[in-house]
Amino acid sequence: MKLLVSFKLCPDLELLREEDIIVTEEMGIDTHFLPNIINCYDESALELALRLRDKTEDHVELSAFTVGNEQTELTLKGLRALGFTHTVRAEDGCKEIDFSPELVAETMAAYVRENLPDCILLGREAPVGNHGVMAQLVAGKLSYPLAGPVIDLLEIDPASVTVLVSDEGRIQKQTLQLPCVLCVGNAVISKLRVATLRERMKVSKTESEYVSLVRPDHRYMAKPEKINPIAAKRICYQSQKSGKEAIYDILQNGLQKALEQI
Amino acid sequence: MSRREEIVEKMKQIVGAENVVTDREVLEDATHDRFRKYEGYHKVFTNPLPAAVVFVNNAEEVSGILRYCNAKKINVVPRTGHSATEGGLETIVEDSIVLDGSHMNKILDIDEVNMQATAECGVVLEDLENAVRKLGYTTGHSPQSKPIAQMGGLVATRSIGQFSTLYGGMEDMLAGVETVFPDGTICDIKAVPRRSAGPDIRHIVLGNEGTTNFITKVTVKLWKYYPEFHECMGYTLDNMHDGLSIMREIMVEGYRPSVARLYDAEDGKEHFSHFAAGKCVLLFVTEGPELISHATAEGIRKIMANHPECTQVETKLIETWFANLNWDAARIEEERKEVLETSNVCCTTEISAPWSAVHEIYDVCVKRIMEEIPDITIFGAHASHCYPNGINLYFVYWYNVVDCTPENEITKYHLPIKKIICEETIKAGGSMCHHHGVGKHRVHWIDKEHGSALYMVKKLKEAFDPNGIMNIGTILPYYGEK
Amino acid sequence: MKVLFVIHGINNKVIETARKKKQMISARLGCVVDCCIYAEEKETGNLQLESLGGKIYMLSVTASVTEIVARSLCKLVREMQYTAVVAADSGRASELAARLAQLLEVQCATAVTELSADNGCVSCKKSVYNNMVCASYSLPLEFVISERFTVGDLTGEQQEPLEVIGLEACGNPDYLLRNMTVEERKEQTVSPILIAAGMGIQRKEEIIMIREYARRCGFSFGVSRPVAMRGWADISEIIGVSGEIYAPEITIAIGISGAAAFMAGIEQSRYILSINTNPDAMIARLSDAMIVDEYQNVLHELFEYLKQWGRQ
Repeated sequence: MKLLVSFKLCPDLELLREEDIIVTEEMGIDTHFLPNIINCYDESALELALRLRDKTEDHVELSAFTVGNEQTELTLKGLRALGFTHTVRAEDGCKEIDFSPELVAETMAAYVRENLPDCILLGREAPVGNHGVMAQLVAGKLSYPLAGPVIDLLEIDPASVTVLVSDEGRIQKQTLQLPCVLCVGNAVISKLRVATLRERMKVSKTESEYVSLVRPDHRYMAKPEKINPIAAKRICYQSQKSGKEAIYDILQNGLQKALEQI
Repeated sequence: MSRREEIVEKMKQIVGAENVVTDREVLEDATHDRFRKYEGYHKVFTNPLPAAVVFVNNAEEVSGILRYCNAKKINVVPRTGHSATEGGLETIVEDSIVLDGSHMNKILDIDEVNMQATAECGVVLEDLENAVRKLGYTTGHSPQSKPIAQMGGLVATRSIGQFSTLYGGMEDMLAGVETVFPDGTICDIKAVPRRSAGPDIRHIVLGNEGTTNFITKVTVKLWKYYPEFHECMGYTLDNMHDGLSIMREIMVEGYRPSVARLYDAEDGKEHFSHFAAGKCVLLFVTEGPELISHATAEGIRKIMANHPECTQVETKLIETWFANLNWDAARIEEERKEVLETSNVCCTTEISAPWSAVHEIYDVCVKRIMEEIPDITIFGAHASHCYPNGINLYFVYWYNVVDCTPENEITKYHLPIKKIICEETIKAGGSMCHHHGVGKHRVHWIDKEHGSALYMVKKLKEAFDPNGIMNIGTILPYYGEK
Repeated sequence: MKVLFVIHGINNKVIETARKKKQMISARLGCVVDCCIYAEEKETGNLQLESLGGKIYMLSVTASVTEIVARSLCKLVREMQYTAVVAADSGRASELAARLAQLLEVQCATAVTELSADNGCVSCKKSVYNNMVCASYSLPLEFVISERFTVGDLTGEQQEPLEVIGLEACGNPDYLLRNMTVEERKEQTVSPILIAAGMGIQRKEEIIMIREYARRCGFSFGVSRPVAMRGWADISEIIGVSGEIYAPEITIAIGISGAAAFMAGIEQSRYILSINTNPDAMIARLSDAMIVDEYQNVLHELFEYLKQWGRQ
């Protein structure tokens, strides 16, 4: 069985200081000085795929797919060392991809049509665009069934895959016919294992496969017209006092009123 | 009444029942420090449970407890922030007492005239630093453990911080200290600018790792703090040897940046792969009054201009890294979760070396560990504390624990790595401990570390702790009951 | 304009929130808003639709599968000539909006926080970059969006007569070979006050203490994702886009930085009080008030005071 896991390398926005939020001309904020991390849902998806492979004694062949720049290569190499036999990268030549989920989805769909994986895993949402639609777009373009949010991957056989899905808090065990797309949510596993130096050395000569971005015929996802450092939606009153005094201070500044309206 | 019950009863008489904890989970947690974190995450505890964790509130209570333990030959493990990394806090004999000073957490005085601050042993360094920053000062001490480590432990382990190249280590910061010896004697070493009244007795306290005395009060120096004049600089380069030579050049030429760091490509990967994948990274921060900070930065830039092998990087990359350096309790918990899910563990060993030996130590350690140790995922190093006569190397290694129970992790991986690093360092003329102390897991090489001077270390221990009740097995090895 | 508001009707709490949102959409766009509630058969019976009022299409599905809901809605929108569809905030709202937009061949935006009519088009806003910046969109009058609105005060009760129309589901999830519930939804305590705990809380014991306190007083309790990921709380306690979406009157956010995924869970609160040592934390801009202090210094006093509003 062939599993394709798609992931995105994102700037670690937790490290961004407020004074560094600067909107660029390409309609985004400058994050080039931040280290990158694998999007948390995608990280779960990658590890779930590896665990499924371990369970099936290597009857599962793993590939990883990403759209990103050269910095992504280090991560892709790490994935090859862990046993992803193919890694595929579409060069992100433009800032456009952040707000064009369909461009990414079309590129992935084109790869899938050619390579026919049985099962495709994607994380449910990733920062920058925070659209939360990628799995759906890919499934829609391929006319594949979609399940999710997946929280665990249980079994796979040549005809079907069994997963745990959280439907608004209700946990369901679903068996789906292959091929299908799985959208990974708050999975039970959140951390990706680490390859050893020797495993990394073994794949040092191997390379990723490159594919071109494929432009979609139609785009339904709207593009932003403007990006602004967020306008204060609420009026924030800050109390620097402590203990009882702080509570009194805050009560005077709206909490009392809010409590009375309950 | 068993010996254990008797000890607990006596402790309650001295400090009150509310300060004597005997809950199993607390005792289990008290058997180890971060050296056995992997075992701890798996809830495996190989050391015997202490009789109790005893929280003290003043020097008199410490004195009373030590007198009792000295008379009854009960092993005492002193502790404050519990952030030790070398096993110094492990309870390796039955019925030990863990003597915890973390409730002594009052800042006693910030003396703006004499530029010094006095704090009880359980004050968290970050709390003291925040308090003096509000007045425009700094202690100059900033280890990564700043949000957790406490003043007593920092003195007891001869701690050092990220700005040491300017401010020095704890030995340069400590002005005065109050401490308690096993026979109950409370000694207060007064804080003066300098004196020549015989040997510098602060050094009997500094770095004693709880093996001769329990620190209760600490006075450290203060400096004016000028964050507005900080200057950050960063460079990438291809190899560590060039970087180490540049570090030497900057020190020898007489510049004192607060931060001078060199990462190799492996160790830097976690922090710098977004701009320096596969490269070494050199970085500097200068601070102090405007003229000095700027002149130091200018001097460094001038030296760097003569090194075409280095490529300057944008300041913001370095500033962002710098703003996110410290770990705290939340980060340690994050690590626990990660280790349990991935079985991938990170440990460290830090050494110091003269300039003439550091290249060789780096090369041979990297080579041997890659060849001899299995399942390594990262083996790298950074140099982060510079002196006119040499530098430190902080080896950072990650490995996957494979086919091995939690209790065997140390013997399969951590100790063999440490052995290579310590032995190679001592052989080349360096020191096997730069700033984490000896703890209980570098004692195997303490004789080689000190050579003929081991005599003095042993004599100090015999003189101040004749019954051997203070933190058995730390700094000097313990061979069991004679 | 004619708008269809689509709700995943898992319980009456959702219906209550939808009532406010429906009214808001109607006011902002100046048009009639009809509703479509989709739910599994066993869930539809208990829903109290009177409060929602107006025209409601009830779509009963065998499993809540996006594709089937989207196809059924597509048919309805075309037949009844709705110009726009708003999918109410839920775990699959964005997915549903994207699919429906694809089927209807109209523009789509997801996780929209603000909406207004603007000279022949519709303006909307959403948070991007983990809530740090806001993106503005302009949509033509035909669109599909998913929402993450903040519900404000109601502008008066204008009860429309209830009209419920059954709707047949399109398609069959024949690819779903087996579907078995292994764990039912945990009933979250519905309380006007939510206590939310984040990474700023430094010890597991304190999370447990805060949870216990919240339970004792009958407040809701939840954590940010990283707290659960540390093993300090259950995954089912996560607040936010991937967990529970709350609309309490008051949220007390303790040690929370304010990441987007989390904020989605609480931003519908009427009042947010945050307690954080960092006055520049992202949550500051999303709070009504903030106490800049260690939480230990204020929690006890605050809890003592709030106790009287707890659910008896």
